[in-house]
Amino acid sequence: MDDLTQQHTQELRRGTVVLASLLSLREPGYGYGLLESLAEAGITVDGNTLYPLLRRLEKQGLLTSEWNTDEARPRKFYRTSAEGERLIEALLADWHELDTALGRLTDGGDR
Amino acid sequence: MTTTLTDRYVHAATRWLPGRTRTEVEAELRERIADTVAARGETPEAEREVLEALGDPLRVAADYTGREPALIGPRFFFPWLRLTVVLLCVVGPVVGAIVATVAAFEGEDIGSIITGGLGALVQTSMQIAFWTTVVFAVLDWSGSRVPDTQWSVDRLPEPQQNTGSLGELIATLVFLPLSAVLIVWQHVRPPSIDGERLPLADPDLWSWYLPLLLAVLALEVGHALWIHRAGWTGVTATANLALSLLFAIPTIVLLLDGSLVNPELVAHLDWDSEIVRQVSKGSAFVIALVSLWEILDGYRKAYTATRVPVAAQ
Repeated sequence: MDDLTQQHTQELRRGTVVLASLLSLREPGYGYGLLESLAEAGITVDGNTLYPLLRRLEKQGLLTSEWNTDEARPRKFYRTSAEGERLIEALLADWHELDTALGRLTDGGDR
Repeated sequence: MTTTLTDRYVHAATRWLPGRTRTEVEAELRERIADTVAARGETPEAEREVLEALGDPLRVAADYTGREPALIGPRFFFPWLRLTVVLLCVVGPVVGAIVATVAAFEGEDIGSIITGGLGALVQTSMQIAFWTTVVFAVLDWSGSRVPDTQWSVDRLPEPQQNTGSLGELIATLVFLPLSAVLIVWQHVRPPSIDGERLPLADPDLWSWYLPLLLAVLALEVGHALWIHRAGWTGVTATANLALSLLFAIPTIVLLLDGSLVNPELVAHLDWDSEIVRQVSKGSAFVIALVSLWEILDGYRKAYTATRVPVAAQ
């Protein structure tokens, strides 16, 4: 993929990381685990983006967090809050709307 | 006692952050680094690679707090921050001390000496902050380029002994020679008062006290360099104690005795001897207080520097 394409792809995907994280964190998870499960699901995201994003989502009340100190290494576990669920709903609805709209544009209105 | 690269990195990233945010970001960064390093096989090389990949710690901290610098763009923000802090640490206190010294020699009462010194410190700090910001903002808007300094792990500061110590070192290296020059200058070329040039300090004191003072200043310079190399330890803190006493004891004795100020000058200016006595007593008190604080501060720094830091789990 050339640089220009890569740059625009990245821009296109940026917003989806929020949605993907909120969906994934319906099951509680910690930063690195989420990084891996997102990659597995086909959403590659840089740690420099993801970790600060988690912090921001928590500040916005979309995630709740809890430190788990049972293991040798303390980890911060995040979980999608009720407010996060509402955002998921709104974003998914918008996502489908966009998909339909783009479909109309690509197929010349046949869809 | 060893501090790992991670310790130093986390310290560098979080030291500018305010209280609670600092502890939070610190814990989160440690978790993140430890997990990433573990995923790469938990070797020292892995740790280094992970930190290199994280990049400039100040940038990381800005990402975590989500506070993007606005007046100064991100390109210039960190150079601006570093320079402003160094200037504030150095220039403000020096100017404040000079103003207070001049006021003391003019025989003002202790209250106005202190408020004058503090006022000068605040004003200078505001000027410094204002003008550095203006210069950087203009540079930023006019599109100048900063030399691309590649961030690397090797540029991480040592967390314990070096907190602000470069600023302190520079301040000391500016302030001490300046004091020495002032001591000599007031004797060789005193300011003209009503047509007469009279030294501020009693010239008789050149027999022992003023040379001693110059020697103490020279030793203080050596001490500052020593601290910069070796850090605060029990030994350097004790040397600090000795130097502080060497300065404070004769100075306080002379001040209480009223034999520090040139009696000819007092007579010439027709100063009220009661006021001179009050000012001297006040100064002696301040010197005692400052010396005591410096001595305790030395031991406090030595204590924190030799304590084992909270290691990364």
